[in-house]
Amino acid sequence: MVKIALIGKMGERGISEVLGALLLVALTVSLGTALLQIYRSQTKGELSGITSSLKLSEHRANQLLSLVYFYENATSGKCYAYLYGCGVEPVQLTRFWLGSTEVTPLEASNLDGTPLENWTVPPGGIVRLVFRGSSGGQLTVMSSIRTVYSWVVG
Amino acid sequence: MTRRIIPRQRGTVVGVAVMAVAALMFVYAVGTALMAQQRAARVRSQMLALSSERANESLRITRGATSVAVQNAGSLPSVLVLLVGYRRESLRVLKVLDPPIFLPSGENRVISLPPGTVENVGVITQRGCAFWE
Repeated sequence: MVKIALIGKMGERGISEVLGALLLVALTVSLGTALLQIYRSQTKGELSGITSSLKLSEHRANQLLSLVYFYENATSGKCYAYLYGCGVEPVQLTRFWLGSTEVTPLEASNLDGTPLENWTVPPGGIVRLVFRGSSGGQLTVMSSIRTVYSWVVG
Repeated sequence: MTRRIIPRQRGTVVGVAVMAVAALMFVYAVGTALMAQQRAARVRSQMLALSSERANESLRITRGATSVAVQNAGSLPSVLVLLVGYRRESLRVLKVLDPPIFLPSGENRVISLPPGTVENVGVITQRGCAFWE
């Protein structure tokens, strides 16, 4: 009689086993969720870093720039650079160097003479940049996604 | 014939379901990582291929009175997109080659010049290389 009292009635045995299983499942799920949460918080930064790095690489692959013509006028002390956007995405230029000197364009325009908006080279378009100063044998530009394009000139 | 699931089996079914979900999550995580790896490799190989293609692109431009002859002296086909002309500090597009001219390796193509072209002429390819006469 004591034994029956401890394990309950014969008819209720199966139900308590199911409850036990459910309890274990709940324990496993909550433990798993907690572990997953810890893992996610640990890898979140890493994952977002990888994702942004991948996106950046794709932008870099799509934002291509080519120097098609460069002319240095020693008399006027000006340099004329023509850049061609040969990628599929526009390239926004942010910084410029002639040799090792950082410069700002005196003029940035499209070939039809219209000003270049935000120093952005459209895909398939040629833009004209005019700088004051000596080329120093090298023209370097940096884009908004920090891609550096450099050409030997002169 | 219907099979009756007895209570002990119910626990097993739930356990198996949980394990299946865990397995699916694992497969998803591995799949995502592999896809990211493939994407990175694709971008890298694309960049490498472009720089190698650019290095192998070579066009020979010969200017005539009213036309310009372009010969592909490189080992890869080239796609000509723009005919341009320069004189001192100014450069202008003489002709937009629309549709672009596909020029296989070793082949020639003659492109007529717009009347009154006095500049030195050049051709720009789809890869962004400029070749001058």
